[in-house]
Amino acid sequence: MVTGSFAASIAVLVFAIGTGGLILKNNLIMKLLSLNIVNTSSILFFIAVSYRQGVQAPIIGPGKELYADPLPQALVLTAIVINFGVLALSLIFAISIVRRYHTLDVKKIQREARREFGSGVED
Amino acid sequence: MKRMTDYKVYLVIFLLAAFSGLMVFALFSTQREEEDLGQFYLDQAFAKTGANNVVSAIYLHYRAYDTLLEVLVFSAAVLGVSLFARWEKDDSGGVDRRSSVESSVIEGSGALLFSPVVLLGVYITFSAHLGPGGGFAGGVIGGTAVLLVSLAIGAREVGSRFNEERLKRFEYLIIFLLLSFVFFSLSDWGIALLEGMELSSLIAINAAIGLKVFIGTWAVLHFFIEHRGEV
Repeated sequence: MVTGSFAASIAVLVFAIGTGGLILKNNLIMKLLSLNIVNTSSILFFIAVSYRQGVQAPIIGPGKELYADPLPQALVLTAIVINFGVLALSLIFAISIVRRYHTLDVKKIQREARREFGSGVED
Repeated sequence: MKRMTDYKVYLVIFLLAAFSGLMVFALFSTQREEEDLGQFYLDQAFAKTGANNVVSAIYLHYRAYDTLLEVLVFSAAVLGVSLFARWEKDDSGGVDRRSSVESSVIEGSGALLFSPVVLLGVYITFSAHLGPGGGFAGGVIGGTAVLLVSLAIGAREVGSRFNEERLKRFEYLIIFLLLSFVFFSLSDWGIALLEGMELSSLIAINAAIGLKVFIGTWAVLHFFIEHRGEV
């Protein structure tokens, strides 16, 4: 049976995978997907933490007694919508960058930007 | 260049191991049994709001200001996408310049599935107090229905059937109504006025959020479909 701590540990593992992908991947779209995975794993972590001794979802019904904790679930709704907002706006920036440099490779973009703007471009 | 890549990998591995260990340690070491706020909401929510779904009662009644600013965050994201669509008006209309249809499977399923998916979105929006759901989920489901039709008959065709200016004005009207209604219903004399109608105000806020998210999701998806396939 999947308990809360087990699911929370898996959420931390997915967070680690997502962060690794965010830093180590060179493709711009892969970086954005990894950021999405990081956001989703933190939402999963909050929902896993809300598992108490109850086994039912917090919808009051007849004949049920023990419920999960409803408060963290209500708080991560904000996180889901922020995830959507960040993804949409970062894809807009990706479209802008690709229209200008015609590549998705981050190292090539850095090289072109350094050539265009001088050595003020940081690594 | 290669040496810097090696250093980055080791740094990443060390940071991830340290962070994961810290989080797992924190998870197993904080147990407090005295104060249980979740149990308070589970006991009181049905009597106070009439909603069976306690999570809906929390984010639409007890913490409704949170949800209000949440809708504003969503509107900011949609505004960003639509402003970008207006500024970067290249002539590269992407794949949708073709007049032919993508594939007959998508066209057939779009014709068949549009109405049931919109109906599902409306149902999930309005039944948030009895089961899982709510304005956000229902609005996104309705948005994906329009996404399917955009893929089937072309984004320009779908965009030409809606008056964009009127849609934007309608969207801002919904936000204004939502803001004023939530501030009214959670003030002192608002609570006294809406004494027996808490469930109705819950459903009304849900419906407004669902409509707003539907229009916003459709605007974002429409922009991304219209400009797909260009590098």
